[in-house]
Amino acid sequence: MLRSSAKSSIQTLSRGFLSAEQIPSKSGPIQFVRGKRTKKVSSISPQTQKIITQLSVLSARKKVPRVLKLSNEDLVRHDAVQRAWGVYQKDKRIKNKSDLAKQYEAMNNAMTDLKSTNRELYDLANVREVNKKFPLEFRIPTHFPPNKVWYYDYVPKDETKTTKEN
Amino acid sequence: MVQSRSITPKVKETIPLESLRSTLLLARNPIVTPDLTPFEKVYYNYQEELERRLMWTFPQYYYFRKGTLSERRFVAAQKGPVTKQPGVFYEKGKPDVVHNRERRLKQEIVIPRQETEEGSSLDEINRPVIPNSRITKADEINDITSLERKLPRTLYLLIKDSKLGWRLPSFSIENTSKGLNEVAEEGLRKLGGEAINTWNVSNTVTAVLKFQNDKLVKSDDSSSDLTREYIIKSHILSGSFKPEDSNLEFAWLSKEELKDYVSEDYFNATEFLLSDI
Repeated sequence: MLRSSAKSSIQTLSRGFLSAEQIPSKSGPIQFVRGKRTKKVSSISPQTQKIITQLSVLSARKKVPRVLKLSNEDLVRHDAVQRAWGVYQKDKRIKNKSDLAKQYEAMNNAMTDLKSTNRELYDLANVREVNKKFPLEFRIPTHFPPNKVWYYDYVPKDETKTTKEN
Repeated sequence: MVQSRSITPKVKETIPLESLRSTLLLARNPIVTPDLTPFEKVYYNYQEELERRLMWTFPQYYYFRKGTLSERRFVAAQKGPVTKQPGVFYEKGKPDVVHNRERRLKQEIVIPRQETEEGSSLDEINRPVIPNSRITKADEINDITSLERKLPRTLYLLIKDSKLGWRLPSFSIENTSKGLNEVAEEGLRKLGGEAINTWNVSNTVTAVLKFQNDKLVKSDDSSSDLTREYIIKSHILSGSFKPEDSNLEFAWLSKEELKDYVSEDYFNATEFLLSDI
């Protein structure tokens, strides 16, 4: 009954209307309804209201939590954790760097050695692979494995066929 | 050999082709992300808790319009903070609530689960996500020939040689018309069948192992009776290694496991080529 329809013979009224002078002149029973909206809709247009809502999403007002206050002990603990993490990352970085250096050194040594043992194989190992592409079948690791963990039914491409077609 | 000498006259002494071998370092890359160490686990947890504590309040009025059914459902699903009442002693400090959020704590948002009729098409959409296990059947039975074991680790193909024990697959070179990478790839297919898809990283050799009477020597040794194994890097993408010879033993092993299979010298010489992840 919140919305009075024109056809209804019963008229609804809120208390706000009592003080107003303009009492509906239509004859018939008057019914008081609790919570009927008496105020006019706010003067802001819906478009403006929308913009205000959108801006309030971006604004910090009423949304920021309390500042985190750490006691001295907590601060020391926090610093210790951060430093330990830094040391851990540094160790990892050093290990990685030294591994890469070793790998480069090994590659260099092997190629120098190959040059002295067999020149033809060395030349073949140095041929530039022009159209080599990174394979699309490579999978990026995910947190959980796919339903089919490994694809076993690989059928090698028939190279003789494709060359004939070309 | 005579031919090769005519092309490259600079080489003083020719080393017989039989003493050179092409070795394949075939890797199966990790399928899932690496396991976290205990330290990483607690550190990431700590950081996440900090971040959530300092996060702004979720602007629910933006996502759910006032007076709509979805808003009511969302609000009903929230646990809601303890409100401040006059004359009440609060053990854990006075509540400070703004926008239905306790400002001193992290905000926990509950996403309401939609109730659906039985047999509804929405059931399928609303079903909880159950991820597959990171531990597979091959891990449980410890099947070292399976490619589905140790998903967070890089695995390497090892073959048991009747004379020399476990080692990387190695192939002899017949002539110099083919590069070392081609020899290795073809040898692998001869050994383990054609149904294997590999990607060769480069035609450049990765490392060299030098042997003297089947014993590993230092890489800078330059005696005349050395056998050299040039390592070529490759990755398996699909298919599997199925040896034609059923007596041939092979294994897919991670770096740590590989240590127990190969000799100590062999591991030390190849260790830096193997991935820790």
